Amino acid sequence: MAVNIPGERWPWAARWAFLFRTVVGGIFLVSGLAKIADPVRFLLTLREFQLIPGALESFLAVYLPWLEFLLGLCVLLGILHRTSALMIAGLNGFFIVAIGSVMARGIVVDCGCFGLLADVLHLPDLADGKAIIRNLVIMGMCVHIFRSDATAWTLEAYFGTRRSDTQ
Amino acid sequence: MIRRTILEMFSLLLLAFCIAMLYHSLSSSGITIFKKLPSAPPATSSLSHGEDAHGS
Repeated sequence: MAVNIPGERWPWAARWAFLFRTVVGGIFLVSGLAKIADPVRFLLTLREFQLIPGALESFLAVYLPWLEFLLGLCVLLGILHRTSALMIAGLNGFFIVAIGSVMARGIVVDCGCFGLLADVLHLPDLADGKAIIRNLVIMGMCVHIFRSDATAWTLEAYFGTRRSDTQ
Repeated sequence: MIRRTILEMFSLLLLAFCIAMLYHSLSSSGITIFKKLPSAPPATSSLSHGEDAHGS
């Protein structure tokens, strides 16, 4: 089976992809868990953005953290990691539009990126230019993961389920 | 390739939806979000404990 095995054939692009997978997966896993732990806080943050209709806010407050958690887990473990990375890039695009809209309207709010952890670990949580840059960096990492097609240290490679990558 | 990616996307979206709904139907936080925090703030009652609308 001709999968990418570390040490045997592991080009730099694959090394970067592995590093980015760890970083992006870790960030989304942790931020998803922090929001799952306190969905009411996340709901109030969504309301502050004044972007989404009321009925959709409650649904997103429940759904979005779990989606982040699942995508983070998939990227980290290497299960459907390319599709997950693409979806995380899409989510980040949505976050950038939301933060940009808030900044354009002159509303000062927390971005809600890290939920509870923002208070506990004193993480930056303001919806400002830095948050947009942070999201852009994550987007770039996700694009690299999607394009690199590297399967080193993924469960897909371990179980040999990714046929297109083994050719 | 594109078809497969779209299929995987829908699978992930559906899986996250199922997990989220299952978790929040079982946990108290889900009830808090859907029941205790409506769009409009709830009207406060001036009635004291043990008093109904007819004043009995």
